[in-house]
Amino acid sequence: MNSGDLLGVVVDPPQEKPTFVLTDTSGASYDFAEETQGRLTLLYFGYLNCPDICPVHLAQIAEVFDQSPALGRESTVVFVSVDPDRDEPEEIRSFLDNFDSRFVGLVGSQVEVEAAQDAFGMPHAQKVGDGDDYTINHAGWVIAYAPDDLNYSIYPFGTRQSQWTNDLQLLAETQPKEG
Amino acid sequence: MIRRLMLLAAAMAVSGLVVGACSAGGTSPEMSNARIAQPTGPNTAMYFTADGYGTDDRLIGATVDIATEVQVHETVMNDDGTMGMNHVGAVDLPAEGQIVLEPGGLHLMFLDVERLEVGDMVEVSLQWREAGDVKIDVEVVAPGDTGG
Repeated sequence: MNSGDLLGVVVDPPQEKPTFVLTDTSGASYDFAEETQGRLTLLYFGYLNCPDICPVHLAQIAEVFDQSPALGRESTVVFVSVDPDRDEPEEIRSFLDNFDSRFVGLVGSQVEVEAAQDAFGMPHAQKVGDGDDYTINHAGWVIAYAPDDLNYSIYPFGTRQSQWTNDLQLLAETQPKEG
Repeated sequence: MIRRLMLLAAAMAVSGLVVGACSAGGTSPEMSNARIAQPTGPNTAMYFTADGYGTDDRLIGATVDIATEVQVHETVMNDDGTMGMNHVGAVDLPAEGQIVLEPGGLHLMFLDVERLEVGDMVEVSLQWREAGDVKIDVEVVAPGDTGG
């Protein structure tokens, strides 16, 4: 793969896949690097009360998989909730099932979720407002890892469907590391 | 690395407010391209374009039967590259201008919304300071089909 052909925001040099351990929507422990090793992996930190940008990313990725089922089988999409106070695992499962029942939803305590964001050098998602009616400032982009477990590109909000299609096909061509 | 890229990403963000040169007569804003994203969680968003009609006006709210509350929100890019959502009280529509509500910018946020299917039509009452309540029927679209 020539990273110059990618239409997302290219990461140069490519970054290794860090790890974190959270809990999936079935209650099982989920080691991110171990579970996604050798697979095209898309990681997103979001929250269920986000009506504007979170669903669009997930819908766009699901659309690529609908058009290319093999790509969907070879990929893992991981959604980490940055709203541990409100997002219940079963609600996250129901939310993700709107897009693709294979999408993985992860939860953890505030400290655990912040540690996961630290692993990627991301600013912590922050609550804005009081009571139950708060919103959350959070990174609005998807981090992509090719099957060689390297991050070549990220995808901000506003990424077009055609860009997703182009880049996921390209990234999937990368061969997993030997070993 | 990621932080630097986020600022780059900020430059790619779309803006929500466009003041253009549109002109129309009439007694209320001309609304077009209205759509509601099929809810995937407790809240969802509605988008539309409104053209000025020769009188300065202001969108001050909206009501709908299928949600407990509707708020005017704006998604914004923060200085650190994160995205946030501001509750804005109202949006001005200049007499000869246009407002565009679109993903990544301004939207009407429906709170505690009922489940809806793609293709459903929903009556929404938009409250304008000058034009008063204006009802429009809005189609529900798939979450990925909310762009322009």
